[in-house]
Amino acid sequence: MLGLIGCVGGCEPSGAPVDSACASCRSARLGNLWCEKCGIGYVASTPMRSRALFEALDAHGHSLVLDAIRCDTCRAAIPVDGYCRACRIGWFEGQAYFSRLTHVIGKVQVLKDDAMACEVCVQNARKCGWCASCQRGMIGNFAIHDRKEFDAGRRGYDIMLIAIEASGRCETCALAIITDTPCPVCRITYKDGRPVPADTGKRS
Amino acid sequence: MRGIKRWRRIVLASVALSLTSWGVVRGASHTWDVSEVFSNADGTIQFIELKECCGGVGETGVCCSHNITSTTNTYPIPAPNLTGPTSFKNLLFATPAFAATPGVPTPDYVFPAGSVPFFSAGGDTIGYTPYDLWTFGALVPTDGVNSLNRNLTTGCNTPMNYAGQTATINFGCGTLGDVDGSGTVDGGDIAGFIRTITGNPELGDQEACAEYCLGSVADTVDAFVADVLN
Repeated sequence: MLGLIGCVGGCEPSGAPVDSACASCRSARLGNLWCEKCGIGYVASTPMRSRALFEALDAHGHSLVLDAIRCDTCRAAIPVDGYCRACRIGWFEGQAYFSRLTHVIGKVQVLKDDAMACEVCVQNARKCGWCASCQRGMIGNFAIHDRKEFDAGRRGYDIMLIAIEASGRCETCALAIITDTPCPVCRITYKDGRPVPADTGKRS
Repeated sequence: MRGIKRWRRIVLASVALSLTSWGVVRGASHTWDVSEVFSNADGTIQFIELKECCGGVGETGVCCSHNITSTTNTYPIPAPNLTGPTSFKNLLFATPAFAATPGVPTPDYVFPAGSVPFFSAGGDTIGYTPYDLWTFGALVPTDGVNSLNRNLTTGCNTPMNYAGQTATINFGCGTLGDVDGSGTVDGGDIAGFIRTITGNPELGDQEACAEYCLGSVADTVDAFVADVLN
């Protein structure tokens, strides 16, 4: 629990150690991909061993049939690359991203360490952080120039860290954490990364 | 800036394609929603249908870390993953008694016998966890014919499996048209049939036997008349 509390405010990375000698890991880290050789996935340059969590985070845009989207908020968000809180979908260039974090990093540039002259930014890329000098936030190696977007992405990043830590105990909890839903195995409901009194979710 | 972003996407796509050959990119699973639920009166015959909502072709990764849940049961979706394309397809989960009924579409997944009834027709929360949860009250018909749709309408059940097989099955009536429950369809059923289709059934009328699920009163009458005359 203390670890969970520490993660929420600190934007500290956690998860499996990275084998920087692995070329596949180096590519995966910058591309939000899974390294089959090492059994490690990367989202926002953050490693995780849970394949289920990696796939649930799914940092790549989904091509959907936009005419089939019935949510009014989504339909309004699509042309402006916006985010629908109700559906938890962010839209960018007509593709769907299923979390705030992946929506934020899906829209921005990846910067390799050697492409950054600023040491603060390089250090921020190890986890996440905002550089006041460069007016640039880094979430992993993903560079965000809009402060509000960075803050939104950072909140998602913090929750991802909580989920990574939980995945060692219960992968289903990890998925519930990133989606604010109940874990059917442990019977714990999560909201913003924390256990909450049980709720029954979407209502009709 | 937009040009840089497009180049970045091209580079990332190239990386992703090359790494796909190493098996590092698998199917997604986010866009399946619970679309229809059905139960007979004692809960032995139930189905839960999911539908891919949004035209996603690669939403194949439904297994292995996702569950179908109710308030009382959890069904881990077993391997293997689906074969695409998944766009607008359905997945059918059902109880063993449903699966054993002649004429039903073959369920894609069958709940274990120990999980029957899987959900409460009197009100429950059905989940495709972690992506979709649907809570409903005492809205599920238990007449053995009608089901509850996600938009809260009821109508003749329309279970459809991933292969696109579908059928409407009347579990509430042994012999369609036998509204008086005599065992045969004859003139004795006419009065009860008329009462039922006009919304005024009496005690003893086997209402489910007047439900032909043909979509219109005219077609229903034609079918009933044909059964009486045969």
